[in-house]
Amino acid sequence: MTDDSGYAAKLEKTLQPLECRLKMHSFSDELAETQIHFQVLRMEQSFFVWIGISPPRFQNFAVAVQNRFDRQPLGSSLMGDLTDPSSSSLAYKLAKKTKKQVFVSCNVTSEASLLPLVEKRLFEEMKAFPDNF
Amino acid sequence: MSASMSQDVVKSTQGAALIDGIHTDVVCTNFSDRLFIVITQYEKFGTLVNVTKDTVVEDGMREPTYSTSVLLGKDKPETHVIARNLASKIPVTKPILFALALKQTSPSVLHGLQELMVTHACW
Repeated sequence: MTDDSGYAAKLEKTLQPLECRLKMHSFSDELAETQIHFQVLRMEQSFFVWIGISPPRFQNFAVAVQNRFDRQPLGSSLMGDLTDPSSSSLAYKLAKKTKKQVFVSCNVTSEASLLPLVEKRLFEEMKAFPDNF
Repeated sequence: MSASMSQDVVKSTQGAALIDGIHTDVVCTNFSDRLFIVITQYEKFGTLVNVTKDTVVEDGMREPTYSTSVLLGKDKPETHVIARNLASKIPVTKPILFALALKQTSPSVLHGLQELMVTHACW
């Protein structure tokens, strides 16, 4: 829009609210005496999983995607401690299972014994509510 | 009930609007150490951009400066401009991670994105 009057008209127009097409799904569970929170954002052929405790931190971020030419998904750590593979390994497993692009932020790295429980709980939720992923 | 629930721990808002005729979704999540803001016209994350406000002595005279880095996606100049511009509307000092998937990047679209984002602010 190069015309000044048209641009001004646009600025005045307030936006009409619509339904958000991305679906947020939250759940919590006590695993190994720790309250673990999960948040899943379902998108088009992809989803994002955040896992953490209170206060909620967003420190790690990884992505993985299954492609049709390879049997193994491709994964990459995007943010955080690169020596901590919890987010990327979970993204890898989820991508392999769902064939979707998966983003994971896993922030429960203090105890290594917790991770298998977190994974198990997440897979249970996927089985119970497949439409949320 | 003593156990806290996820939706109470992680504060999040979402919404959508037509911007220049294009359905645009917004999801804003307030983590303790970072804001995560998704603005998408493709129902996907698209380009991920991390924005940090540079720490300088705040004397109220200077405009704040920002550092932007693309974590995933096309590292185009306009991506940095948009992320920086949107971040300037957010009065927080913690880092902001944007997920931007836009069909258009005109000034009028950017203004619409600002309005949509501020309407669904979670900070």
